[in-house]
Amino acid sequence: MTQPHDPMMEIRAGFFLECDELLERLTDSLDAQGFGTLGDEAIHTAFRAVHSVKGGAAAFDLTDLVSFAHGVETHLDLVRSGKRQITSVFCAALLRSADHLAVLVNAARHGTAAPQNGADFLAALGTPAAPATAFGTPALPNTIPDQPWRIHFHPHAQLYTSGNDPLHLLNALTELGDAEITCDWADLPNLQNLMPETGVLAWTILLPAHIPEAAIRETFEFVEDVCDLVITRDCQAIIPGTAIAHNPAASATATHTPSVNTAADMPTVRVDLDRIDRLMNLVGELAIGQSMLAQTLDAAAGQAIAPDQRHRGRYSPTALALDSLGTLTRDIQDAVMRIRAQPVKPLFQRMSRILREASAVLGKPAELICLGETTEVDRSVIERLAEPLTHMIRNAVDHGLELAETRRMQGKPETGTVTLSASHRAGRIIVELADDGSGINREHVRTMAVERGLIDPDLQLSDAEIDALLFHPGFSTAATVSAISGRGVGMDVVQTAIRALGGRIAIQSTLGQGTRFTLSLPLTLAVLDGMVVRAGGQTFILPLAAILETAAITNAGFRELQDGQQLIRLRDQYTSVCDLAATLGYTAQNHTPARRIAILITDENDQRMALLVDQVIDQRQVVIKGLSNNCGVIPGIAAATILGDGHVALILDPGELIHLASLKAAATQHIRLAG
Amino acid sequence: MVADTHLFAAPAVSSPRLAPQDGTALVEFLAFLVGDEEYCLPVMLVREIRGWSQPTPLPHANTALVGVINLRGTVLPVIDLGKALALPCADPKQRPVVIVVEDSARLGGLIVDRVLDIIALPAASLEPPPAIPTQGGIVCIAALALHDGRLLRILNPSALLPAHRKDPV
Repeated sequence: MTQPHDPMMEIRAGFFLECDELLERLTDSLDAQGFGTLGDEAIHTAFRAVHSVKGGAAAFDLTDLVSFAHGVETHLDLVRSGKRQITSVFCAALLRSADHLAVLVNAARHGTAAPQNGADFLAALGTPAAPATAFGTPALPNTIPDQPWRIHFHPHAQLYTSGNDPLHLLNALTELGDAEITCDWADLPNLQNLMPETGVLAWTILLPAHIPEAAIRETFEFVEDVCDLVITRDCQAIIPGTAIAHNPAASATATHTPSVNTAADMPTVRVDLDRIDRLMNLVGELAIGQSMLAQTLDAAAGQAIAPDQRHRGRYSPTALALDSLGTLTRDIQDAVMRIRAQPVKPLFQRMSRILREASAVLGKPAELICLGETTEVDRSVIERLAEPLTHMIRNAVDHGLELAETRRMQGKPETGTVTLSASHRAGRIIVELADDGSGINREHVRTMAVERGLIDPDLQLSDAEIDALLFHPGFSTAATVSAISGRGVGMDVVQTAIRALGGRIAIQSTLGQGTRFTLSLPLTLAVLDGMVVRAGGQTFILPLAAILETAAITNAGFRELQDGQQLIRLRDQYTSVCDLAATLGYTAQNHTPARRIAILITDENDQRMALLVDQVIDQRQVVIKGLSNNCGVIPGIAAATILGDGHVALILDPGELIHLASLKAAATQHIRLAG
Repeated sequence: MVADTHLFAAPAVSSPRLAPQDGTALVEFLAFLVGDEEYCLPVMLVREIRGWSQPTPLPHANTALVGVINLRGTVLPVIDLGKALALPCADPKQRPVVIVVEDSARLGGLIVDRVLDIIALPAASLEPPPAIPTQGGIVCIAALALHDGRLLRILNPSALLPAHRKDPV
């Protein structure tokens, strides 16, 4: 907190953030109308994006970045001015150049060595872009360095009302070098008509050529929006005063050219994630405080009001005020959650780069179609989704799509299509990745699994069960190990990552038509939908996603196996039963209620278990609080939360519980055998 | 002889007054009772002192870790210092004080019987504990000091907080 801030570092960080946006805009515009049909506006957007990256990079002396951006820019400029035909080859090369630009930006950001193969990408773009001398020089190509600067400066009335004085600015300019200043008073009315508050004076300043443009702009930094300002090299004769001063539109555009283009986007603010997290915490506290207040008031009302009057208490001014406070708190919580939410678009763009790389390396032409890019999800989910999705995209190209010849013979278009889509469904985000490739060859998968000893040769498996084999650790069907995938760390890694996010993954596949993976993920990792249960005198939260069914049961419903393992029939299936309190090591309080609740839970491997609890209390959203930092890892417990009464309740980890119970069963069996 | 554990080095960085190389610099300690025994903790590690509230027990935890409580939104593990030090003492519910300590970014609460005083000692008067093997093998005592004829035992919180205590006592 108290670390000294280096303003330059902040500006630099700002530049890189801006670069991300610009690169996004660039890829967007290149992708906008598909290959080969770049619309006019798209070219301009792409050009402006590259230009802005170059401009910023020049300010930070990032020569690699500047020279490459300059090369790309020159090509785009040729296209923009109609001197260059757009071909699909050119578009593909442009996209790869954009990817390389992103690589360079990243290298510059982290201060790592940038790959020096930029020239290859530029060569792929076709005709030599510019004379080699232009490379490595940050100078803009359309300026002539040895011409003096000519600055036209016309303050608006707001400049004076905002407390600025042109005199100070002019003085500052003279400090930069020998300034030749002329005042233009052509607009000055007669004394009787003079309104002293309006800005009628304008100045033309001539400055020596060696002064950097940035220094001049810096002088005017704070008045830029309250004056007409034109800074040019004195190469074309500008008639002092009149010509420009009477043409504010022209001067306005000139002013804006060098700055970042301001698209008609919604205004945004960049905020540190820490601050948002703190706000989230505080709002969570507010919600807890509010519900504690409500409970206290309820208890107080219960004592103070006669039973027959109690219904009135619900409509008392206090209760109503508390109600609206509760609504307000929930609204604030939602709003804060939404601050953290981001569209999946940047993630999808990264994926489209991954696809291009994979398709180039494997020689399988493929295109990525992205749907639902504006779908918003918590940024922590987005961050942790990148790696599994990368795996899946590579898999789709490597294993899913056929080679171009094969596709042609099958009557499919040579270019494979991979579709990545995102949508909201029932409070979760659904990400689907579909390819139009060969689909899962289940016979092959089966044979492979038998070969690797994963399954028994005689075992009868349903299609879904065979598909599930893909997620088995160490299972990889690629006939040859390619550079892209097939290192045997495929889908099981994906599944583990998705599970860690509290998500599920499903496969659908039709032979010859393609494969579709469906990921279902929580919208945020900060809150969880859970069932509040009691067991062993304690309150626990069970994640709703893991619950298949709840049933009230009596002790008569159990069946006991010889090894003491209890079974119960739920959903036409015998499921092993486990007492939650006993599994967690809470000493049972010697009272086993006649009626208990069995909750059928499942883990990601579709293993099922019936969890016995004493009572189901509620179903609610809880704020997840990490435990491991202060308390270490606790088996069977995923995290904790704070209940409405201020007490801590533990959030159960269903997968871990099933694992614990099976360990315990194995141990019991062992003891029985030994005894 | 100066005890040079990390315990004193950590706060000394932020406070020149506690510079360990200067034997005359004063180090402040919070003294409290566990059962009838007097123990101390460096004041720099004490975040706050709060009353008793009912903790939520953790499964499979050792007996000293009585559970977790809500410290304004943070889930705080609470350790019964009497049990952790294997001292005879009363049921924690009758003892009102929880000392919240921070040790290398970990927070934990220690249940004690009564907070006594803050004692300032010259750093030079701190002595390392004698090398006697303790039961359980965990070195809870960071240093010893004599003060007004009393022997002060200065605790090492990192040996008491959960993540470092995987073995049950």
